[in-house]
Amino acid sequence: MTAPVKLRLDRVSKSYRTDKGPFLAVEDVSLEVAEREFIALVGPSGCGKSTLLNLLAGFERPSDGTILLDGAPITEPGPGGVLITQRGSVFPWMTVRQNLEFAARLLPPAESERRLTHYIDFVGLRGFEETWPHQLSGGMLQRVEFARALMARPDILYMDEPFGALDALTRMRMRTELIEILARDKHTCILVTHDVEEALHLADRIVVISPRPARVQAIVTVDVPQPRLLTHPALVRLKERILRELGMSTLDLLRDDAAPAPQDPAAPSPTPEDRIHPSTLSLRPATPAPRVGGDRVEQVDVVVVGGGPAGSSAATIMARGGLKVLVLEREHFPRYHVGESLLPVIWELTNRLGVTPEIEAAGFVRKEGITFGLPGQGQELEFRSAEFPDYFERPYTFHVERARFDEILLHNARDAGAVVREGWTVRDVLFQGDRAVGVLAGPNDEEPKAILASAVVDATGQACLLARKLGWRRPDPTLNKVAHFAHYRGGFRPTAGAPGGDPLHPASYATTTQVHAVPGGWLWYIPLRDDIVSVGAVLDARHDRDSRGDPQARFDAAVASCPRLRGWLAGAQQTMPVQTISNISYLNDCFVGNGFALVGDASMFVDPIFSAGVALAMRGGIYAAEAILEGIAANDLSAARLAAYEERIRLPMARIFRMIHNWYALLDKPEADNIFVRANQSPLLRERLLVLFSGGYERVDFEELMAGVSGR
Amino acid sequence: MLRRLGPFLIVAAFIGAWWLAATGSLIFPTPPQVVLAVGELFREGTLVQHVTASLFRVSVGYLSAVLVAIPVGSLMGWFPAVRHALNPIVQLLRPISPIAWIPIAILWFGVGDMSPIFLIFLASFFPVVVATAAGVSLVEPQYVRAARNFGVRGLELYRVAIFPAALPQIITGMRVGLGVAWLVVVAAEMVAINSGLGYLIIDARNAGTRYDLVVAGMAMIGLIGFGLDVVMRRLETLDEVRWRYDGTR
Repeated sequence: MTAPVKLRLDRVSKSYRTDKGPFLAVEDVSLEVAEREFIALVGPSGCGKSTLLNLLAGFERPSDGTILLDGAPITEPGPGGVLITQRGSVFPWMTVRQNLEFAARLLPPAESERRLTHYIDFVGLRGFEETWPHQLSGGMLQRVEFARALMARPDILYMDEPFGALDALTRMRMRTELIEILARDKHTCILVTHDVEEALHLADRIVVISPRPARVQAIVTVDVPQPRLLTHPALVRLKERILRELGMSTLDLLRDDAAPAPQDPAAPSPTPEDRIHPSTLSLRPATPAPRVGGDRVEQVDVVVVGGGPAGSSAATIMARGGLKVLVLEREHFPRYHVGESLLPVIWELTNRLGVTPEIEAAGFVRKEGITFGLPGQGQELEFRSAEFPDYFERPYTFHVERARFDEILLHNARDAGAVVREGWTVRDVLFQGDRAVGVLAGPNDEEPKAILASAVVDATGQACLLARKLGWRRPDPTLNKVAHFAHYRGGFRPTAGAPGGDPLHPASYATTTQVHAVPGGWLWYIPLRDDIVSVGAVLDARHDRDSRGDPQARFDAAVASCPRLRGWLAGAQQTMPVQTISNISYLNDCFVGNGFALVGDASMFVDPIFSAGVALAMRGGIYAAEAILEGIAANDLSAARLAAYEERIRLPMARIFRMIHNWYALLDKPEADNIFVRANQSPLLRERLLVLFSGGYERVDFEELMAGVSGR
Repeated sequence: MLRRLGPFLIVAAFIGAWWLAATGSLIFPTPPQVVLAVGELFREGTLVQHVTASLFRVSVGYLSAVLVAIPVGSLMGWFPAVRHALNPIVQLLRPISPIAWIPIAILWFGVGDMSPIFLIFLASFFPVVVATAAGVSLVEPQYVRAARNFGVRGLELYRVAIFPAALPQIITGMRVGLGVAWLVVVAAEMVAINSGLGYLIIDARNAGTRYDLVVAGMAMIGLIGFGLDVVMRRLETLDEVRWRYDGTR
């Protein structure tokens, strides 16, 4: 390190007092940052990186150790070190110009004006000086944020997930812009991120932070000149190394937590019947269970709340694993549910559940692929699973009536040994401290009773029982949609009676899921059995609110705006009144806690554009069940142990969210470069896209694919 | 089309129904009689006099309430200790209708301008103080942190970040406060004083059973109250505060 030291951390620790005693957030961190160096702090979510950054920026004081900036201790925040976070802090009550002038308000007006002109051009906001922040897009707002920070000519830029709230394309573009800014106007930078690729793209050195409390686990020097391509072999190797660091650290954490709790000597030692962690054992007393109202309290291993695809998948796996599983479902199956299109990845899941023959025999309509009607010129793109048949077990899947499909899965759970009670409502999840110990439930309209369990699986769908109770529900306001839908009889069948099929047997209808862009959103068109088609309109909630008429009128208007589907439905009869549901996507903060897990729509809801919901819900259910089985085998159902489930399901979820954002970016700007258009230009890209559309989110080099798309 | 005409149709239907119901009544006036009564009051000069008197009391009482309520509410919103100390008394006094204070107001201030002004102060103080406290306590921390980051401290922090961030809620509280103030001035003038629109109504009834003047007074109260609300709503469309109401970000 030849440049002088700018920032020196010497054995810095930070602890907080909480109700449960002191909480150590940062422990013994020592680090030297050179003048004009770019440092990235990488670690799992909630590891204390942000606390560390707050200490550096002067918003908090260390409990122990010293932080020196140019040799002097940092005592308070100041314009010498400006912090940028993903929760944009551009003042909404000031114009862009006023925001920038604010940062330079202590300077002479002439100098302020000179810098304003410079930085407005710098971040490409010329012409937007008098604009109000609420009129700008997320990406432009973040550029205002940067311009305002640079106006103060800070010694150090502190960035806490600065692009975290932006969509994938904008995030890529902002990274590149940041590199350009730094090339011209060199600042010392400290970036906090959980995105390893972002760190590799930007940083000179990457500091890997251990999970709570934050400690320096490894420091990696990135010796690749800018501009960097993420496919550079050195970067790929570094990425592997950092991921290994992060992965190992997680395992260490699990082992620490898995150690038997020594403070509980009274607990009986585990017996074959009681394969539960000692601390959990105290909840399953050796003495007779507590009595409530004269009845013995019911006890099971796992309560699954909700019997949809996620809940029944989880129940099947756990019951097969030998657990006593109780599924409580509010409705009586079969019941109507929207979401009728499946993905080829489903076969791996139905195989795992042992239900493939039943699905095959149910007589659902075959789905051969997906057809996108793109906005603008009316161009259509069709992806047929049979084009690249090697990726999945069968080159087709089904369009299903969810009433029947969900019923098959629930019966399967019952066959596997789970006890299923339909028409039961769960009022609440019972907690002892922060550990779920059971539920309060009973038949609908009856007084609920306590049922004790070692683990609770929340599969309550969009009701989000636990996420709402715990404040974990996290809607994505940029994906706030409304869906209107109905069934028709007699609509046109695009490829009805495909060659080789039996025209008298409904399964011989070989068709694709149709997705067509219309003003304000898009339409689905899914052929089902008995000459029924399911038609839906997914519209931007604000666009929909501003439209005239009742839901039927708005639905009709959306269908009428698509020449293709208007034609197909010309002679068709609507067989059910239009139903309307709010369709806001959400990705909840956490999926697990001590003794409980959230699965399916209770953990996340994704926009239906890529038909991802059912397969992701079943995957979540299976993964959660596996984590619970392993947890019980290891006598540990703590959040840290169940996190194994969350880690497996987060990546495909994050990727489907990025694909959805990409689709809506395309709707907003039909002329922009995007994956759909490129699919026509390159067979290789087309192949990878087909894998993505089939549900194989982890089977392609996703980052490269998306980076290729942004192209900026 | 129906959307735009709707309100007018309803008002027309209302007036029509009133007209039908009042036709033939010896006491209750028809719409034209009320219009004539307004004209009569206007020619006599009493209308302007009563309106001015009412508006004057509302202005003084309301503005002083706002001037006190914003600082008090801000302190309550920002310092938990202040909120803790003041909240019980605020929550205790808030549900008491200003009307209930009329006897005490007369006891303390006699029958003059001060009584209604005091009542209006009471009426508009609580909505503004509660809205301000809520607005300030809910200011997004990232704005305050950003201001501190650029070296802003103390009272300037309030001026630069806290007040403008809370302003949308404060304005909503002010709108509610003004509405209540206008309700209360009429009630106060009915008992405690001999001028103003409230006095006009009660005097017309007591002195000569002139129900045309009673309804004329009511119509004026409605129109002016409507006008005040329109003005306050315009404040909510200012660019400095729109970000909060638009619900976009």
